[in-house]
Amino acid sequence: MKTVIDAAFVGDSHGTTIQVAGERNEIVFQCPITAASAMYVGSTLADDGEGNITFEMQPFRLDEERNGVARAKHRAHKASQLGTAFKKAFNSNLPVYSNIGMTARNFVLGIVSAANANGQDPANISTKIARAAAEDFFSGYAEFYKFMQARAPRVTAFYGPTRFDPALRHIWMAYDDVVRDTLKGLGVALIDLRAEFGDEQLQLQPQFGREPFDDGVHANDAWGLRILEVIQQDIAEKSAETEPQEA
Amino acid sequence: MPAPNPYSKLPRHAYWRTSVARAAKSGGALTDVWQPKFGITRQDSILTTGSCFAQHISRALVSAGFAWHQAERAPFGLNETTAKKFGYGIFSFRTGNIYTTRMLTQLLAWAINPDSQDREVWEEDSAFFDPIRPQIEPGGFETVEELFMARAATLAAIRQGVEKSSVFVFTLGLTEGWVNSRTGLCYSSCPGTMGGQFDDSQHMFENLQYPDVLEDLEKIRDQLHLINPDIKMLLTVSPVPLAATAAPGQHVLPATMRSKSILHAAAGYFQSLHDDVDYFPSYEIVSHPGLNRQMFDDDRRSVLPEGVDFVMQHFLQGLGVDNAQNTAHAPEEDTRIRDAVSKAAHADDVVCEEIELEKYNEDRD
Repeated sequence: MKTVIDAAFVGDSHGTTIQVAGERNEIVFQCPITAASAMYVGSTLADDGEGNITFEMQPFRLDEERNGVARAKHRAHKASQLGTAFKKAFNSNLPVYSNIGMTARNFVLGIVSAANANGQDPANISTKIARAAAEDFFSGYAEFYKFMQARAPRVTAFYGPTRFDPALRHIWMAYDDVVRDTLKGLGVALIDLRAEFGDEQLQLQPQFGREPFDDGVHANDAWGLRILEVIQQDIAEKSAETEPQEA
Repeated sequence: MPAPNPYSKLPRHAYWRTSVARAAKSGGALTDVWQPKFGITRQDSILTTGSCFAQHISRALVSAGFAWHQAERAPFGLNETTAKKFGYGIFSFRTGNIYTTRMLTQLLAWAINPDSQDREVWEEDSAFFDPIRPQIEPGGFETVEELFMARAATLAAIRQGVEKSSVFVFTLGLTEGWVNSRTGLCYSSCPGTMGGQFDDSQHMFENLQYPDVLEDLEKIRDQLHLINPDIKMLLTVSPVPLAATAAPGQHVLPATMRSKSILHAAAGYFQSLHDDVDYFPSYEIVSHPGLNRQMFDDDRRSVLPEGVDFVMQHFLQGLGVDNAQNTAHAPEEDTRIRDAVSKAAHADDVVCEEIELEKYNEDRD
């Protein structure tokens, strides 16, 4: 029997991992909203005041000359779908669970790529600088969370899999800290299962890596299912808190 | 008609009346005040470092389309304002101000041989400060390891930057400095002013003399050539006066003149010794009263943006950015230069750490 979780689920490729793991086990969200992380980078949500939500991508990402006609059209279509899905979620007054911007990988990748291009060693970057850079990097995502927080009964975020180069752990953790603090400031709840999935360094443990083809980035079904379980528990707890008490 | 003599065929710029006096009267730029020994083209990669005035040179170069080499770039994700707070994008390397030749020789020595670097660290409220650049990480580094990793990055950037560049611009700022008498470490500022604790048993005042500066400059050239035998040096002296002097019993005005005169004389003589070393007279253009221009702000220390514009106009002119001839006779300036230097000068505030010393002046206005 299929279990439907009464929530909107906003996710990137790690969110898709969770979604697919759930589907394999007949667990689905009432309103899944997932897309590749690239769709979210630099994008914004806008409300026309009448409940219509538009998902606005950066114009260069939709430029046909730059991206090719097929890709640009696909992105525009996906953006339209996302706008509709967000509208449905907000109109249904569903709580939102989201992992967008919650995985430091793209941030760390950006730092590593830029440092390599400049002939620098990314490991030499201090925690304080990493934090300052992360604040800027996450600011766009923070706007997303602010937008959702204003329209959903509650928003809860959760971290993606922590899979880092040990030499760059401090950069990854600096990002995670910034995310935690920013979300706290916005009143967004955070589910932090890094210690449960990770070793003492919070590095994702091997049993949560994919088999047989581990990409070193994503986690496996076991990881996804455990997150689904925690989300279900969270919903149950929150529902219990809000249900009227019998006399 | 008198027989020809060395003064009879001199160009106008060799005479005060037809150069300085006319420029002062017209308000225009001096002609041929700097005739570079070696050409610098837009293809040349240029490094800038030194005292705060060096920042104007890098900005002027960038605005005029020259290839200023930012050898140590800000990490991905840092916006420009934050990057600047962390010391990126100000000089070619994340060194902060390098006021003395002694500081520069020390840094280059460490860049060449990182094992030779001093390991002193200043700790304050669980934060760690680098004694050679205490303001580079606002609030200090979180761990000693990070401090030395950041320093390793800078030393690597210096090595790579020098290796890949054609011109090394160094603006000499001060002769006064502080040294650890036990270890020989040169501090960028007096311990206890921008970090650290002053200890008179080990922190020693050092006021470089002409032979010291000359010797340092020779050493700097050798060090640069060790990394890149083809690199050329362009020296300038900062016209910004000392914020304070620690020379015993000295007044800051003669101390400033003494310091600048030594730097100026040493740089001038040094450039005469080497074909690959040049000198740009920024100090002279700002400081000489003959031009009759308002150069300093109300604090009589900060060079006004108009003054910086004026200096950089000569700098770019020397590099052949315009073709204006004899501008002392032609007060209408080339707008391309004016726009370029103006944009450069006003881009944002100059980072000048030495002014921090003023906070120890108990006499408030």
